Amino acid sequence: MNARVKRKAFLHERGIAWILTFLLTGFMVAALLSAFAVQVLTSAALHLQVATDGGVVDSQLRHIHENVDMLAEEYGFSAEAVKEVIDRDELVRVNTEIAAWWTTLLTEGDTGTIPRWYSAKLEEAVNSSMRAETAKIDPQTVVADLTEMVERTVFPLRETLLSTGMELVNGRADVPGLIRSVTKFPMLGLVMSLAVAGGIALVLGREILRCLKYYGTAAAGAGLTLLSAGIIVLVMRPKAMVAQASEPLAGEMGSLLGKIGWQAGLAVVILLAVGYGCLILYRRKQSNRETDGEVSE
Amino acid sequence: MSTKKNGKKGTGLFFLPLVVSVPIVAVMALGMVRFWPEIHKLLSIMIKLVVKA
Repeated sequence: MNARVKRKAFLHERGIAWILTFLLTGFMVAALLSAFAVQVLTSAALHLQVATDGGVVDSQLRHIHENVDMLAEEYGFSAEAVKEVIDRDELVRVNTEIAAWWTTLLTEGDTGTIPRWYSAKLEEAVNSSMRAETAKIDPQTVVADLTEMVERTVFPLRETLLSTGMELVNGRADVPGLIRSVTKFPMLGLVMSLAVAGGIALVLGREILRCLKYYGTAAAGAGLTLLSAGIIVLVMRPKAMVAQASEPLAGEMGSLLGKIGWQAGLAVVILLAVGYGCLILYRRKQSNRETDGEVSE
Repeated sequence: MSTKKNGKKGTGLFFLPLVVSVPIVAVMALGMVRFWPEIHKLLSIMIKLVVKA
């Protein structure tokens, strides 16, 4: 009878431990996913890295030069003179300005002054290269078209719509406060994970060896879940979806996803290593205990 | 955890992470499959709205 009661308590204890392990996995995954989301939303450094990414700038430059060639053929100005004005350094400068505006808009809800690209050198280049006999259109119109094309490439989003939208939302809700709350989610997830891990230890009578099995399962489980979430995102092909609307934006998105992907990959490797490390340690210690003749789970 | 006839421990322990990850992944995957047409439509509208033509 006594043995039956003991066995029942043991199963009850294990059941609670498994429920807590499931919760621990969920909190770990939620903490990591929210950490990535918070980075995308608020990290000025990440947006600056994307804006100045060599691949992104090269793709923008290629796109701009192709359009300059097309417009030069259409309007009759020197494409080379214009290409010299819109170079790599100029694009990095504009991208940096836009990244700063974008981050301020997302983190503080401050619409500020929408960055505009204007180059007096472009005007000079167009005016000097458009001869009266070859000119098919007013140089000012050409400059306006080129400026719009560059702006559309470096910032493919409708900035006026975004700033107006943000102003409207700002009037109804405390956007900076809301974003500050969102940035606390990863920390909240971590605190909850630690609390649940503590709960598992309490349920199992603070036996570290037995806890290792559940902690290892939760960590490796979180790693596998994160890996699967990444595969689901890849299957969705978000870059291809955006590329249909704007090739330059797809380039920026690819760079952003790549940077987050590296961090996520590293997190998966660490979680799997820690998780399976705990499980291997548990198995070894358990084998030693059984060899010594102790009661095992 | 399985125990082989020779007394050595099996590899069952290493499949335990699947016990906790499979239900979460299944919910995510089923959610995606079930709501994919709606999600795709919503994303397409948002992209068209926000991205310059």
